[in-house]
Amino acid sequence: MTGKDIPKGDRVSRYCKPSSVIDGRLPPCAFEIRRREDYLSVNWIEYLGARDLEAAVDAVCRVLRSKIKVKSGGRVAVIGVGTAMSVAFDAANKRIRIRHVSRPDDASHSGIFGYAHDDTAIAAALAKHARPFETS
Amino acid sequence: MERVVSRDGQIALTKSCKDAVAVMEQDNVDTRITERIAYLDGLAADDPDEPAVNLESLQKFAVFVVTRRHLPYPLIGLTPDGFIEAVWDTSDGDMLTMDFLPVGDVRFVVLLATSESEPRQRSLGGLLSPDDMMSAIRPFVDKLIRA
Repeated sequence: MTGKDIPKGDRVSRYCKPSSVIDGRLPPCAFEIRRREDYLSVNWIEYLGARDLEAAVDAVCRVLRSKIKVKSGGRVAVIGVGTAMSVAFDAANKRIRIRHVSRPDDASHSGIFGYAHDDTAIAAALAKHARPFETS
Repeated sequence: MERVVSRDGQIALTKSCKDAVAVMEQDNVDTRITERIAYLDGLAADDPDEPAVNLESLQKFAVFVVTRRHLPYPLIGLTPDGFIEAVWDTSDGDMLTMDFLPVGDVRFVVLLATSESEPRQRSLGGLLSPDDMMSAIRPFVDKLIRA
């Protein structure tokens, strides 16, 4: 269910599979949306209520591990909501929205809305300004 | 009469990623590129969430690297569609990304470096044939070669 917009001062994380991580770096494909998907799945960091960012990334990994294979070659990329909105607009003149999309098995699940599978400029901007963390 | 097949033709005739990698190896393509492609090809077999390498996209990428050996080693990833994505950094912090589409065009983006005088994240990009793209962004390609 789609909920409220996440505050600009908060952060979201994106799990980047090994195919979209290169020597620990994040290329644009780490933030590219699949064809016919409405949004890019992310997790709302502050919603998790962790004591710090590293603990939040650990919590994200635990949740994701119950749904998908989380590999050591992957990365959890963290980006500020305000930063993401700003760089996407600067790079592609599009306004993205980042909203809470809670799921029964993933309460912090959220989505980046407003771009398509071929908006590589937005994906590149998000990847460039995100900070990668090793998976736990 | 023996039929001579060009390198481009050999790449186009490949039936699998392994075949395409083998042709690239025969042509002495940088081993970092062939090893990365082989790695990406193996990921999907191990994890159904990983995209499989799109063979036609790989063939277009292979022709590109074989015919443009003056370019430095790119970072290589896979888009959700399994298309090859190559990324280069220029000497002054710009970033060029090329997604190799199966039809032969490339979807490219140049992400300009930000600075104190220009903090906004500027970009340029489009969809062109590899040759047209290389001509269109010549200043950035020149900076790649100097990087």
